[in-house]
Amino acid sequence: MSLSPRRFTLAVAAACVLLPVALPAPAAAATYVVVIDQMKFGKVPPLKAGDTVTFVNKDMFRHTVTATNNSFNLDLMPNTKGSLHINSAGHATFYCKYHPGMRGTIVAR
Amino acid sequence: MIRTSFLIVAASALAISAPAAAAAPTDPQIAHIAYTAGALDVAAGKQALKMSHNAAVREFAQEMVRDHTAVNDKALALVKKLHVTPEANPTSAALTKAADAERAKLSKLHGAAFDREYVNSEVAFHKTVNGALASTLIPSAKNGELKSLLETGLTLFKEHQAHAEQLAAKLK
Repeated sequence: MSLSPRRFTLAVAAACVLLPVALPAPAAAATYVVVIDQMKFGKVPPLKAGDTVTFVNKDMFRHTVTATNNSFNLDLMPNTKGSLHINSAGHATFYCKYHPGMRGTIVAR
Repeated sequence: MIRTSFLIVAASALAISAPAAAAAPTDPQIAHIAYTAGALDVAAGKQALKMSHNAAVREFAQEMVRDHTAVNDKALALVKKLHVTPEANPTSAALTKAADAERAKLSKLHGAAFDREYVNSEVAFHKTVNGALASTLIPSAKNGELKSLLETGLTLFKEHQAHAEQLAAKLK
């Protein structure tokens, strides 16, 4: 699996959506939101190549979304969000490097 | 030296648990205990950031300062919203006394000796607080929002305990 991390604040994220220079996603691609709260990652839905998954940190703590194999890393302060673009099918596990008991899995077909 | 600090913290653990047998702590007392524990760990983290040159220890200390400050900020906002005035109690006093003694002890140490003592005391401190949260403070909390914050705190502090234990094993 290949993923491209994007990190931005809520305000910047809103601006990015409106930028005309943003490359259009493939027709079938989708964006999913995964909330981080109460020291837990929300469940990541099944994905496919081309999709984007946005992690929103609604917790009061700083968290990361860090690949177990270090292939991606999002460092998210409270009330910020960051996205991963799924470039290819595959499977990845991730954790929060500040709170390693927080774990999740991404599966893309 | 390490054994001494464990005994001190173990004593404060007894102090936390003791009221449960007689009378469960009230919400204002629970708020005070939780806030005090957080503030003490922030102070310990700041001391470590002044004294330690070990990157892993400093990263851990930063995590303690950041996370416990966040919880305490939330706790302050909650007690204000609920119009609750945290109430000083013997458990808070015992925690503070033990932390003061540990801080004084740490102030005389340097280098690897400081790092080991700080991390070992963090293991013991989080064990004590987590035990108290699970056995006494959370079950006794009456207000739902306070209980929820304590539960989030327990999840967080278990992570801290695990992190401290991993770090302690590396520093041996």
